Amino acid sequence: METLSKTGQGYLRSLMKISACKYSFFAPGIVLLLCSISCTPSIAPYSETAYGQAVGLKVESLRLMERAETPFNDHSKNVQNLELDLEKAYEFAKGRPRNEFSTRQWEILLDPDRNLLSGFFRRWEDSETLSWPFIVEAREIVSRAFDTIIGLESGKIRAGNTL
Amino acid sequence: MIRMSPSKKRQPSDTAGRYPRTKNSDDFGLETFLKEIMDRFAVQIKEMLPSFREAIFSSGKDFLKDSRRDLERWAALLAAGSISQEEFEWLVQARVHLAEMESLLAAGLTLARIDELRMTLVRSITGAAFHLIGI
Repeated sequence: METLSKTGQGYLRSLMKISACKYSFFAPGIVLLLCSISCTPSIAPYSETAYGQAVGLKVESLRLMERAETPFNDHSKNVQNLELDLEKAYEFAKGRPRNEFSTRQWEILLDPDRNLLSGFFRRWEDSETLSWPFIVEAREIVSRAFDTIIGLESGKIRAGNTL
Repeated sequence: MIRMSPSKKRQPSDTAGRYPRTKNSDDFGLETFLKEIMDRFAVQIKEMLPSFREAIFSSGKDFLKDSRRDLERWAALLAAGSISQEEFEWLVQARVHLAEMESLLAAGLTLARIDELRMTLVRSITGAAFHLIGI
């Protein structure tokens, strides 16, 4: 007890005097409160794997989009392989707890009924070839769409920064 | 005659005045502890709030700026005959879908910042507790 400061000693003496005080249960309550508020994050933590997947798939997708001036059939295999990798990234995001926002982003990007990446590939397949000005503009939109996924992942809390 | 015992006078103790008597048990360090927590937390909130506010404003401004820039560019391409009416509409719809992804980004980042704030609060509490007991 001598190692504590005078304030600390007085505080401890006060605590010892409180035998039946209604605040005697306060200390465990504080501990429980600390545990509850520190152990339930709102969003999944940062994942190096998810980040790497998003960046790599962005590069591959944009590169493949640039080929859309040539017939789709010449690149259908590449598109198929890329779509498989995209689906893996989506399933990885979906499987992580508290990762609903990232999962929804992947869903929008990969929805063939929306006018983003999968919608572009479907348009390319239907039209056989696409015009270069259109490709440039669509590529820009898809690039920014990937950036939202990458931005969200990089904005998440790193696991080492938790308590 | 009944002898009355002399009234016992209280002798001043060694600790008189050092730990003044309090009227209720609320004052056994608890008020000080809570005040210190709130003071620390207020400082941290004050430091974080400007960056929150700035992020919200700049994100809204960027969205309007980007959307306007996109539409102007596509309208120019349409006018020049570089893209068709149907391609123009496709791009406009793509911009709407992109906006949905951007709003998910903003919402997700907000949750991440809330988590950071929550951890800051816990650190404030533990820091105040250690300070109070002299560690």
